[in-house]
Amino acid sequence: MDARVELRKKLLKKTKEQMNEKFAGKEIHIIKAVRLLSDLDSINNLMSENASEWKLREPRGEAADAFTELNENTERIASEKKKLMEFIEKEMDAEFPNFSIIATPVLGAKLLASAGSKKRLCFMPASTIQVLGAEKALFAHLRKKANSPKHGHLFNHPLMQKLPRFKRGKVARIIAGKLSIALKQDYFNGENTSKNVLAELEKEIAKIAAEPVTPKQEQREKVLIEQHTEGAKKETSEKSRTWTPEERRAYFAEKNKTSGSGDGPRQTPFKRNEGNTWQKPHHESRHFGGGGFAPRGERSERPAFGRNENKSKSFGKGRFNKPKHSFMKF
Amino acid sequence: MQKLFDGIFSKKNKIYTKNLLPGKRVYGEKLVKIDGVEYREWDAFRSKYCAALKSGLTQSIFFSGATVLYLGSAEGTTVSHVSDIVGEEGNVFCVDISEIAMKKLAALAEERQNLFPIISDAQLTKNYKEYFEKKADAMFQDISQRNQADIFVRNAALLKKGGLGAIAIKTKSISQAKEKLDVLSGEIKTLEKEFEITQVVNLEPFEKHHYLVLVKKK
Repeated sequence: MDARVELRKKLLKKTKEQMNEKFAGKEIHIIKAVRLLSDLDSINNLMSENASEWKLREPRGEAADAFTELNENTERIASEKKKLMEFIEKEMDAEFPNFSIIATPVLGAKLLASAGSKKRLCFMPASTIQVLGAEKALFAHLRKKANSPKHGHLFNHPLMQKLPRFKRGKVARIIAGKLSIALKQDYFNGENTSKNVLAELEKEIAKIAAEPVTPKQEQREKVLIEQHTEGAKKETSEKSRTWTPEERRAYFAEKNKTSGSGDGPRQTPFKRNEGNTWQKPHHESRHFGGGGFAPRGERSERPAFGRNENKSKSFGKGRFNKPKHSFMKF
Repeated sequence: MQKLFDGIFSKKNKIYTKNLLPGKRVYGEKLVKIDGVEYREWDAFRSKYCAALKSGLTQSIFFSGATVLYLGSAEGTTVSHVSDIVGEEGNVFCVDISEIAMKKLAALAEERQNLFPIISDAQLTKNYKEYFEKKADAMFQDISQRNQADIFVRNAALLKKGGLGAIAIKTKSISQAKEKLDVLSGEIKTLEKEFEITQVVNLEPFEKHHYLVLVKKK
């Protein structure tokens, strides 16, 4: 009995120690503050938009009271934002003396929030820091042959402003490299060299900005702009076109000829999102006016019990559960 | 008040346990006093074991005086009822990885003398193996991980032979695309390495895409 009480006391003490250790880290408060900051930004925008719209209508009487309260609250949020910024700057300076000078405090805090913790951020390679905050684009690139992202949060870095599109990737790479080194200095209590590094960076980036534009870069920029304006429109119109059954059959017949006996995933005439695999062909067929999407031989195989699942209502109801499915032997 | 299983009572389609600490609530549940005994109402929408009891579990794995290994204890909603069932003589070892969830559970464990909190990954059984001089009588798991059945099988070494176990399987955390019965049969195959399957309960009205599998160690 005594052993049991002792064990309980020991475990309670150990869990408390573990919890204290976890909550001792200061970085969690920086992360919470920077997330709150971005939320406050959008709240402030909404409120000031409302206030300016209301002001035009000249509120009187009780409306004027509500309007003044809205104004006061907007101001209060603005001052809270200011205080939060000061807090982040102070904490980042204490935790990351090198990193926060090169990255600027708020941007550094955003990178920290994306990474999750101090240790994780400090052990990251430069290439990961470069695309932190562009996770969506990065995974689209890895999955769908989209272009790789040049920068995530780093896009908001003061040295990246005013640079043309084709120079940003190079600069982001350079900045990320310096940040990675600074983080390692901070984690292992290295020297404070950030000011020299920042001056060097500024020089280097000014040199890159002064480089003349090559014809190749100009051509690329033209193509990109075209893609974002007219090309996009064309693509969507192609997507939304309805295919007649004959067209569809002809398309698949051709596909089968070229690709052999239909091994591997089926192809569709449209670009489809990755991850939307052919799990539910009956849903798809609705878009094409019924009649099935593909020739019969190509229908995907699904287990029979999955289809009849909704019909077996006895399963999971009643006091004694008696499953009727054949694959459950008990 | 009608007795369902050891320590579990029901009245008018609601499930109750005897309150270990009369007068104290854990998560804002109702307290009912009948014949001088205080009972705590068990919310089926917050506890998967209670949901299973309501959807027709034929056997209860917890009994008074039992040593229980509870994996994925979270904030202690279900744990408090398990602690009611096993009584002062029983032991409940609560394993969870999250320090924030453990904050509430540690406060609960201060009050209830039969709770043993452990902060650990449930996959790393070596972290808490030493605390089990006597093997556990029952094992419960509620962890939404991709390898949830695998975690349960790994912890089977801490359960005595013939001991009962229950695992709440969330099919959505294993595969989003596959049919849920498809996923379930795969998980059952994993469990059959160490256990005999006694019953499978669908928790449908209370929890979507959840099953509770009742097992017995081989």
